[in-house]
Amino acid sequence: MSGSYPRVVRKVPAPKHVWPDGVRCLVAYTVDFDGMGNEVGKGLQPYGAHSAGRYSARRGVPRHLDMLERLGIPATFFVPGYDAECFPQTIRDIAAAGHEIGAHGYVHEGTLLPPEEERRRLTLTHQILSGLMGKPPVGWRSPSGQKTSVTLPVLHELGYLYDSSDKDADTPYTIKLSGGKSLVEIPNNTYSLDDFPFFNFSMTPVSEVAAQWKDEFDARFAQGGFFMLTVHPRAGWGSGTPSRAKAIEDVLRHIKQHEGVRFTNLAAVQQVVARNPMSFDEVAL
Amino acid sequence: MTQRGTLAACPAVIGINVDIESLDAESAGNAGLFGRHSYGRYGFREGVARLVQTLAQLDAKATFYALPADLSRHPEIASSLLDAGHEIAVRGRVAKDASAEQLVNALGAEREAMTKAIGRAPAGWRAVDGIMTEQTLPALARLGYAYDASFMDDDVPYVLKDAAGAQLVELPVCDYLSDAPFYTQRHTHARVGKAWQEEAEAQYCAGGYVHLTLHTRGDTGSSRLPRIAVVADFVRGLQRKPGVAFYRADELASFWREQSTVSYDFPTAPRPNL
Repeated sequence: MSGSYPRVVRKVPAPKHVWPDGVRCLVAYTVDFDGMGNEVGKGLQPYGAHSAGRYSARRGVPRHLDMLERLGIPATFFVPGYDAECFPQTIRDIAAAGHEIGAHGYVHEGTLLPPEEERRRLTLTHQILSGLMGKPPVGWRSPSGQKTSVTLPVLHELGYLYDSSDKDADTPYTIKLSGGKSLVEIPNNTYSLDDFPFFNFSMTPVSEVAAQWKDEFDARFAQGGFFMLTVHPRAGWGSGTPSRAKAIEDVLRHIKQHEGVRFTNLAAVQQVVARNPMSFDEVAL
Repeated sequence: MTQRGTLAACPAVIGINVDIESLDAESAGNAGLFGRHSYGRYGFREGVARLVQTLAQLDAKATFYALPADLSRHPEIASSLLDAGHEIAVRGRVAKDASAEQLVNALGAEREAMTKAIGRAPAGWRAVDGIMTEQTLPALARLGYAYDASFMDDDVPYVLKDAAGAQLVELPVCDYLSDAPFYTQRHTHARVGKAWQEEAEAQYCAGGYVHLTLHTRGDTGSSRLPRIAVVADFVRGLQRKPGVAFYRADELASFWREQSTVSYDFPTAPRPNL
């Protein structure tokens, strides 16, 4: 391992009453676009059995936008730069619907890159998304869950306010970088609260996945706190298709019926943490 | 159930991948077609006949995707399928780094071999390993194919055209409406039936179509007794729904091409800035 081990330098008790307006459970619904860039980034040609990423723009994102409008839920979409280049109107549609757009690699890079190449690709995607949205993204999520020692410093330099990649906590926290700089980390759990493992590895029937996610939410709601679900609008292992979108709508309706739940995008979560840093853990890198 | 002579609100297709020996021979190498490398032969000895019998009981016609070499070795399979009114299409392969000329030559030779094996030109094609290139769909169209059934990018068929007049219908497939991905993970047949039913119900409600993909093999396929019962239950459930009709893939492609008012360019992917 290169670099030092991250250290938890502030540990607060389970956060209570930190959410605004007495909210008991803050809920974030996040959508990782994952179009053709996933295949192109692996050197695969996005046709035939490798064409499921094309579904995101053709069907999956429009279906999700319809569903989110119907439910009145704000979401955060993480978009690879290459996919934004391929489907610019889809990205504009997401922004026009009022959802947040964050960055998600250039071609969903699953490998660690040399520092200068990583900087180039982070900057490239930042420019692509900023150009399309007319404003810069403030959030980033690692494709495939990897970062290097240069990732967060470069993101900070580009003006990012949060990262949503680590798997080490249930609740957002502050990451302390060198030189007095910091970012907010909004952790996700790809094993349990992400569609990919269920629909790619275990091939679990969709209704069982929905039941699992409802159980996950119920357990979190009982204690209060933060709940985040991550899906992908592609076909294959994603959730763009009718059966999966229906299951997700069932889950979101289940969550919505609870008192004290508020759906929010991740930019708003970052603001809550940044305004009340002493109410959240801090990790130093 | 809607009659097959018109395009139903919810069309359904059964595509059956025929694996006899060619694929097992590739994976077996020097081990030969024995033991665990004989599951494909189950399709020849048991599977195809059982599927044909079940389809007859269901009054449903299907499309069987086969490698020309398998049918050349077993002409009785081709005649039994064609005599029962089923379609035979090509399960083919493209080299990912082939030049345009090499691609057309290889696809052309494959088409010629299938034409010789079944006595007629095949209308449809499917990638045996799922690998396709940007040039594959236009090449299939120019060789005379009417449809491809390999992509996973839509809920309904769609028509592709280019400025030179090449035209092809894509009949996209779905992993959760297939047997092999589930049986590869050793799921029970009951759980597979449940997953299919949920998927088909959602497609039906969303205005999509149902494209079921089966295999003749004895390991990851659907031709063993309890599994074929799951197939029959699934098909009967769909046949009871208003607006559903089963078609062979060539029939559905023809209907779709005639009735579509929109078409798309053949798919491309821009070169990334790497």
